[in-house]
Amino acid sequence: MEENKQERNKIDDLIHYLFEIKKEAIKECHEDFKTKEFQEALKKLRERNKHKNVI
Amino acid sequence: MSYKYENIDGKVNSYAFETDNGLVYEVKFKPTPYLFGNNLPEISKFIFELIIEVVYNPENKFPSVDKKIGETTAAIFIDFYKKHGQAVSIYVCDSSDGKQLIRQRKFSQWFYEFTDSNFFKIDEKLIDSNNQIYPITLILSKSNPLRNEIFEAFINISEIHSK
Repeated sequence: MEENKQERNKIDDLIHYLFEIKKEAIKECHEDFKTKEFQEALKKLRERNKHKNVI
Repeated sequence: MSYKYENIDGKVNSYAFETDNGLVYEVKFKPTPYLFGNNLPEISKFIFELIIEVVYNPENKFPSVDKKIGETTAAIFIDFYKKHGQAVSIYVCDSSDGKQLIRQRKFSQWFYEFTDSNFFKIDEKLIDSNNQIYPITLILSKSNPLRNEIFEAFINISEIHSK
């Protein structure tokens, strides 16, 4: 019974850990977007996409 | 056909792409070293949580059903594994709106439709003490030398709930 409870707690902790990582990563993604490096990458992408549309 | 994507300079684990509707996505592989606790310390630095996030949505559009998004994500995935052959990725579906099972199905569909046969994927469900279900997917390269140990460790963590 006690062992079962401990294992349940382990799963709860693991779920919490995974969602904390996810939350942190999502926050980082939105911060990344504002960086010079991300905007540079976006500029390159738009350049490449422009060429794609030219016949 | 997928969208063009770019690896973001200085961030080896992050990629960007833009859809025809003007939405910008970031695909990030976030290090998740403690997935297996203290088991398998030799692979802890190769474990990543896969994040697919809309980072720019100027008109606040609801992301549409766009097949190219899945295809692009898969292309990014393949590119990442070319550079990090030993990577183990975990995909945890957002469960905040109760649509986690739909998301897992969609992710699976992308995976089978667009990746090649060089990967293994396992879908599991973690169930917390409130009986809330959290779908979780593990993906690794078939050539990963520790694949058996990784599978076993993953199955062990997901089996705990049923004991």
